[in-house]
Amino acid sequence: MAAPLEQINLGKVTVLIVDNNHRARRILEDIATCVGFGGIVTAASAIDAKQVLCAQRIDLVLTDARPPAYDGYELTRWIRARPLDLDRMVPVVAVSPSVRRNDLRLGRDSGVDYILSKPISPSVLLTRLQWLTHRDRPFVVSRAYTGPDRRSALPVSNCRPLPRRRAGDRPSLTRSSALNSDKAIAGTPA
Amino acid sequence: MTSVRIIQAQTRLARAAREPGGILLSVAIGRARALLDARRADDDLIIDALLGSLRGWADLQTPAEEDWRSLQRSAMAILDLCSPVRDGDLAMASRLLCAYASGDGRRAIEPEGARVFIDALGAIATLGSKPQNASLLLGLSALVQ
Repeated sequence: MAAPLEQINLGKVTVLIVDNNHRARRILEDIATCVGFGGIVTAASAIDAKQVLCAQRIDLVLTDARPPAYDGYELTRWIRARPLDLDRMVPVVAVSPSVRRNDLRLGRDSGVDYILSKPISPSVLLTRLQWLTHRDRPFVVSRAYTGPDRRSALPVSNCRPLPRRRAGDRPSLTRSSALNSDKAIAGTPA
Repeated sequence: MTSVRIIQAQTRLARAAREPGGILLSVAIGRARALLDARRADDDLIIDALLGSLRGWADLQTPAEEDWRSLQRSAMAILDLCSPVRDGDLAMASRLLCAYASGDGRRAIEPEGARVFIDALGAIATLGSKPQNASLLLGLSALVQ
């Protein structure tokens, strides 16, 4: 029987944390430790991360995506171009200091699963992990784009539905306005 | 013709995480928050030091390109250490300074503009997150539009 929604079993999961700032890496490591990841591997750069990914099995990548280099997005493109489906489908969650629309578009088009805005909060990260584990988002492989299906971005399947809009409510966030909203972006599906 | 392949398979993460056992999300969140709170005092000291380095930056008359990059790095470092709950305004101001120092906005970056951000960060760090900061943050965001 599968674990219920409010429970998550990461005992057999190895996460790779990529951030060139050791303090930011430490915060992600702290959260990962508390959540119960079976293995935690860290890398200070995309180059180091690629070596780790080639050397061992990684089930989830948490990567920093700082402007101007956006190493995390470059790393994601590299992961999505790997020859084996199981390797290229590894979920990637990017953590970005920027919530600007163009930066987020870059991330989405690189093939990340979610983009979280800094500073990272344990509850936001765990909610995204729950989405990643309890919904099966189709994975697209094409010449122009490889990554999770960008058209099925909202949480579906077993997750709780989003609240319905009532008459008189403000218009719900459209994709583009969500990209500009700090609160909405904390976990904007890529 | 463009070929598109759709894969409907579970990832290793999804397979492993759905196995019985594990930890309640609420417990995991509580533990993580407690650990981050326990480190809060150290992080506050580092934020103070970073704000001090920003005040040093404000004394520069004609900052070089590397100085702008260092300003951006300091702002990102503050953002990294902010508590999402307690330091929301400081995080927002740091994020805006990051954007300003990167030169992403439509306006040219000026040392005078950067000093406005640095002063605002200092004020917000002293006062904490308050509704009165809203107009200050709005003004900062206008500088990066």
